[in-house]
Amino acid sequence: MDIENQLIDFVQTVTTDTTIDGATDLVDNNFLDSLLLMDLVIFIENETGISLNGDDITPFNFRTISNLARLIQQKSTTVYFGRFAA
Amino acid sequence: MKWPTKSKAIPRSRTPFFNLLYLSAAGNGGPDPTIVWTSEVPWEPVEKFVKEFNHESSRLIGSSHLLVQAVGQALKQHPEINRRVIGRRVYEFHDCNVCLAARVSNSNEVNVIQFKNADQKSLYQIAHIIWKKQLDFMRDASAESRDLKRMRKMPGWLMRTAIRYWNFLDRWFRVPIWGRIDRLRESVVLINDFSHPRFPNMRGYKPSRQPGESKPLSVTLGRPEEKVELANGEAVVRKVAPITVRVDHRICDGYELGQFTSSLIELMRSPRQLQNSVAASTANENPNATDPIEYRKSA
Repeated sequence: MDIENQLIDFVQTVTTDTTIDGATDLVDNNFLDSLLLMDLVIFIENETGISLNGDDITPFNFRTISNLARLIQQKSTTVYFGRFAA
Repeated sequence: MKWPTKSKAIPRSRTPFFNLLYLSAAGNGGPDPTIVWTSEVPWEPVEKFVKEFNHESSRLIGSSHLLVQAVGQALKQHPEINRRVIGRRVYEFHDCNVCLAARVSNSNEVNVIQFKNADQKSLYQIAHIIWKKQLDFMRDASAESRDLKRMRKMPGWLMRTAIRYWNFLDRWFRVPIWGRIDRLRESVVLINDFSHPRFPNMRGYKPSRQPGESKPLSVTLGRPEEKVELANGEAVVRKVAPITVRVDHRICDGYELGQFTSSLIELMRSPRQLQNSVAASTANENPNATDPIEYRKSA
């Protein structure tokens, strides 16, 4: 299962709202609070090994699950190529 | 050595008689000096402001950030609340420092985040502090989480003895801050934000008193809910969030508590004016400040 679908499943389970999809605005629809945000960061770290930092916690990155998945993919690529750059 | 309070106690001549009564009698089975005031914060302006901020800023914020800022400013406006009891006297804190209790879901612990000079912090700065402290705590990368782990390894009898003697010293003597472990004694208030959708509606909440006397003030925000009100003879639906403020009668009375709560609610319902007040505080206290205040719009 790709990361976006995993995130959708996770958010639907935590919020108990099955209408949430990749394009749902989590910020404006009041789904994203500090508890869910920390849960997402922990989930991403456990599932992908990617650590988000304070600069990644922006309204753009967390607005939709698609944006978040794109951030994770960018960071995975950076980590992968970073190993060869050293 | 850092002293959290001013060196001179508030003179007894300036202390209302009924506060003196509690100062003389409270403790050791005496009267309970706790006063609790519950009210409501209109939530629509808070929601609207947070949405607009999150559309224009590069830092994500929520209601906790606004609450921290509002409590800091309310303390500045009401210095008579920014005090604590030592022995039978009342002392004012130097700064408007605020603590926020933030749960970390991958552990059983609560991360207490301190904001020094919260009355001068922008939302951008508050967001930076919260996210950094939470992420570091979650990963055990913060000194605070390591301190907590070390303290938990203490045998129960040693922890009880240490806390008992430390609280005795803190309660009766003006003690300086002893490093990082003791840092939270510099703040007068602990904030709890329960405005998350996962919590049930709050009908009443009585915050506990922490061991020690350094936090006589507590502010708790409950989950917003819709309520029918009458406006100009017509029923309208408004969203409000319950807010509970607990304080010690040895420091202030119900009138002063009501004034403080009223200011706090007014600051929350006018977030743009709150940003202007913070910007004015920062300019007055530190005209050469270079910290970014990213979001600033005039009222």
